[in-house]
Amino acid sequence: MSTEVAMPDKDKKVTIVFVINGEDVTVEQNENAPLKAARDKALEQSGNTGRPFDEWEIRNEQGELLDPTAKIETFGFTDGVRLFLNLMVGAGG
Amino acid sequence: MRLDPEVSRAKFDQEVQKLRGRSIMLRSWCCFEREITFPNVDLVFVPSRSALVMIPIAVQLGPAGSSGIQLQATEVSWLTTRAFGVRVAMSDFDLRPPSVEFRDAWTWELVSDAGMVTRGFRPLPGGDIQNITPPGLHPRTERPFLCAQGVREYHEHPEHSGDDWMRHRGSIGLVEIVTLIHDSCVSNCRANLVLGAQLRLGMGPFAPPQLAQVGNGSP
Repeated sequence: MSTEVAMPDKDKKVTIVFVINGEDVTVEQNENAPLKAARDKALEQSGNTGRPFDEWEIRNEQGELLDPTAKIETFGFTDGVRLFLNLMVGAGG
Repeated sequence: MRLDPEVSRAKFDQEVQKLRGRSIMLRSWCCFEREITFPNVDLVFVPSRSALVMIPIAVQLGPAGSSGIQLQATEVSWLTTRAFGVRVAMSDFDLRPPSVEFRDAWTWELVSDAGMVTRGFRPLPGGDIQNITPPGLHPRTERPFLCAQGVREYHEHPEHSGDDWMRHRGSIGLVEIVTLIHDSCVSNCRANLVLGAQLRLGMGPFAPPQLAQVGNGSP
């Protein structure tokens, strides 16, 4: 008797729409990659390369900060999810 | 005005459109539009962070039976800081950075330092926390202010004359300023209440309650 075990799809991709300065930038990324891989791709694609990519924070529609180093699959995004990129405001005081 | 009013108006409309495009975020932050009329964006924030109440409890400190007082920290969900108003003035944007004024949410009057119902905190690398609503008034406005890059009161403060707005222009707009206000004055701030012989009230950076406990052991 054989038992079929569902193996995780290593190449499963998700489409993410990043909103950068009010403009939509759509990227497709492997779900096993960290979220920052998709962010960096979106920034390159949109020509926002003037600042280090790590200065851009990622938030969901609710305004919650997302960890750029976490794997995309951990967020449970559905295809076409909208995320927002903003430059972090630096220190003052 | 230093900038052509038509240009300033067009940029203002663009920034407002971007902010309104984030309506889900604003709703989940309990940030409400009071009035938006060029060049001002008037918002009200309703904080929901539970207050931290510290209650002194008598404890036995050692086998000898000596006793002491330990503060037990408890979060009280129905006690929060008061709602506050903010005017983000976008006059001459983006030749000049946006200005941030703290206002009373009900009367819409400018608040004095004593009238501040919130403070702005932000975490620094290494675990320290910075107060970005420093004690003392701004030398030009003579009001409490938000001391952070991208804010007019920061860039026009004599102590920050070396950090010109032009270094940040194009990367900081209305959405970034509203995010800064939310993160520092709502998310990272909460009311502290210390019960004792004298009641102490204040606002401090947000930290889980166990970090605020004094002493060791449990009562």
